[in-house]
Amino acid sequence: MSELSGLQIFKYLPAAKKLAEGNCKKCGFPTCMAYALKLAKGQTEIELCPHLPEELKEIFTQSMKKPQKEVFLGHANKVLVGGENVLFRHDKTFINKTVIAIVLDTDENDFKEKLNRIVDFEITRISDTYKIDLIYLKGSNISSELTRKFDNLGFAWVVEDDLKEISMLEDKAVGDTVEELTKIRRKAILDKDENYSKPVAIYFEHGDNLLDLMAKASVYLCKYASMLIFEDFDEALISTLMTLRQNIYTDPQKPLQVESKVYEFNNPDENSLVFLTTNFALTYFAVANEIESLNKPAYLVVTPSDGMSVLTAWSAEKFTAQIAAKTVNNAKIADKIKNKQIIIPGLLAHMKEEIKEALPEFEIITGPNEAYLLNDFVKSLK
Amino acid sequence: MNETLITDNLKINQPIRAITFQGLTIGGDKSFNFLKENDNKSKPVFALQLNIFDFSVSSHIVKNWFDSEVVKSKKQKAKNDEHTLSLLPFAFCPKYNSSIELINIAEKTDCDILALKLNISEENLDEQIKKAQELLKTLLPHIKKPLLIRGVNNKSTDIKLLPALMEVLDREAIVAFADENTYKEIVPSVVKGGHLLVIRTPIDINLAKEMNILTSDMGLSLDKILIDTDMGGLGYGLEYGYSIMERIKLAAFEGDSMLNMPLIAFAGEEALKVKETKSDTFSKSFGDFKTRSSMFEITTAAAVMAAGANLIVLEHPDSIKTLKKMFGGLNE
Repeated sequence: MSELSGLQIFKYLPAAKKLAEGNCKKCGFPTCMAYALKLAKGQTEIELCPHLPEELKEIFTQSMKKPQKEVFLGHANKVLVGGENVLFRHDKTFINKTVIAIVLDTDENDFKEKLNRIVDFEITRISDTYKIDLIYLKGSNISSELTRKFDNLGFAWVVEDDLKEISMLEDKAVGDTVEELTKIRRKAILDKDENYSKPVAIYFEHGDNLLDLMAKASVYLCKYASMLIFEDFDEALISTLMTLRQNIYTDPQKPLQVESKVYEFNNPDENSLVFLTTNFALTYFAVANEIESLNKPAYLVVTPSDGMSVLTAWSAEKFTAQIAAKTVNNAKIADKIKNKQIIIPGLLAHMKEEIKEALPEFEIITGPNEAYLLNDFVKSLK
Repeated sequence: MNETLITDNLKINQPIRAITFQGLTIGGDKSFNFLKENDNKSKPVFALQLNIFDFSVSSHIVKNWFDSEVVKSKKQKAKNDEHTLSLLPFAFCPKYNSSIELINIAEKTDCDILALKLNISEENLDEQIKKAQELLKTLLPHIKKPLLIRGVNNKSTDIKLLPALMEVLDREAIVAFADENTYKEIVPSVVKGGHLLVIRTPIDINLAKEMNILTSDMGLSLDKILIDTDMGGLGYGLEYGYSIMERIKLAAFEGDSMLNMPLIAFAGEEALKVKETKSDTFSKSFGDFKTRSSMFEITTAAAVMAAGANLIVLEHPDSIKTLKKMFGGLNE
């Protein structure tokens, strides 16, 4: 059963039945319709209406139930798992990132080394920093000293008993696991079947092939695993998996743009290079990554182009010489650098003269057509 | 377990078109990969893509793999010949006889399809195109696997290069790719040669549909089209390609006959463009460079496979091996 719409709720209310109590305002809203619409959005309480039929209460409560439970795992530090409500990210968005947990067994020979590696693991991608989400402790020597260490370092940890609200699946054949994960998610979302409402975790025992593990973990992350628990810990695997997770859990409803401003790389000073581009997220990331890897101080001026890439923005007149000039002037770049040069995207080479007219105190240099050519381009500048 | 997983909200009324190509079936799936409601008959197929005109631009992991395979085969040939053994390791350079060696090695891998990218440069275009034709002609007798030929993603080059390559083809092949700017020049040769055509659109479901209509108006059979939604590599917009593939699959299953062509994804090429697979300057937490490079290709491929891709084009043979293994358990 899917969520009730405002109109569906309204049909049960006095005004819809043309009763005397209709639009009595006791709920705090001017009309039954207004109340119904708010109720549908989850912005008010069902108890507020004294005339509500019992039947509607039941139907409504059932329809508003979260299809998949949200569970907090951990003790002093907690991580949230579950709470999904769509089958496909394009329907709305995925909500709580797949929790990535590493098993730490106090009885294993590599315990100390693995502990250090888990604690040290940290990656930054674009604007997010990730550490290991959860440590799954096993073995005969789980001391309070150990757990206190994790508490103090900000890590969430669990033991087997803490996972009773999670459905645990052992990883078997890929087809079987995907089948099970899909069944659980469909039953939870489409049927709102409470028997399938627990978040679900896949447990990967020690294996002998990291590439196989990578492939499986990637498929399960895309297809409905709430949590992935690994006995084997490999930094390349986890960082790759977290990159996939970052992509899949991006909210498709949010505009794909970054803030229009001046971005600084490697502590720029008055001798630094200045680049210009638009604020489409992918454009920005591609260019930013390349500038980052130059290991040279640089400024990147990003124009406000409604999240359009360079050529799209130009053809939609969201990138013009005037807009470029305005952004550069607002950023007061002229005051910050000695060599007043701006490197414009190669795809906008035809705008060089126009931009020069709008920014007469600058020398305009045409850069490469593709971000990945920036390194070679900068070398050729010297 | 015969329990029906399909409910009213997930309408599956028709399968994806099944294209029979040189003994392979591409498409024909009734649901997303790995699920039993797919009847266990449909699996994705895998192509191995080689930068056959200039192999030196390939990813480090690909060059290393082929280098070591060449060394292995030379060692076998050399056996006790001390002098030949002393010439190893073998440094790769793009010459015709080296290209044949590449093909021979590629033919022995697990790939279902061999994809050759004639990665010519844009300078002296006409001369380069002639060389590409000659190269393809030389290689054809050595190619036993089903074949895909690929242009360079550049409009002014591909409108000349792809028809020129089709002139020398002696068999049905997959031609990649045409888009809204190049289809008029490319489709006629495709129709004449009876080939399959990959049509790429920039993450645009409506344009994908429109392109299918426009090309079929030019005589291209709807059963000879592979939809390429375009995609970013892992970490660089993969989610856009991923979601549009899922959306196309859902529309196709529900009954849209202008969208139920098999999906092709150039996952390897896109994955191996990204910084994480080209630069060893990442911090320790990003792990071993070589391993990470392979993993980026594998994860990109696994993701599009989960989204429903029917033909996945990769560059490292071990990636293909890894992904094909996942289907080993089914279809028993």
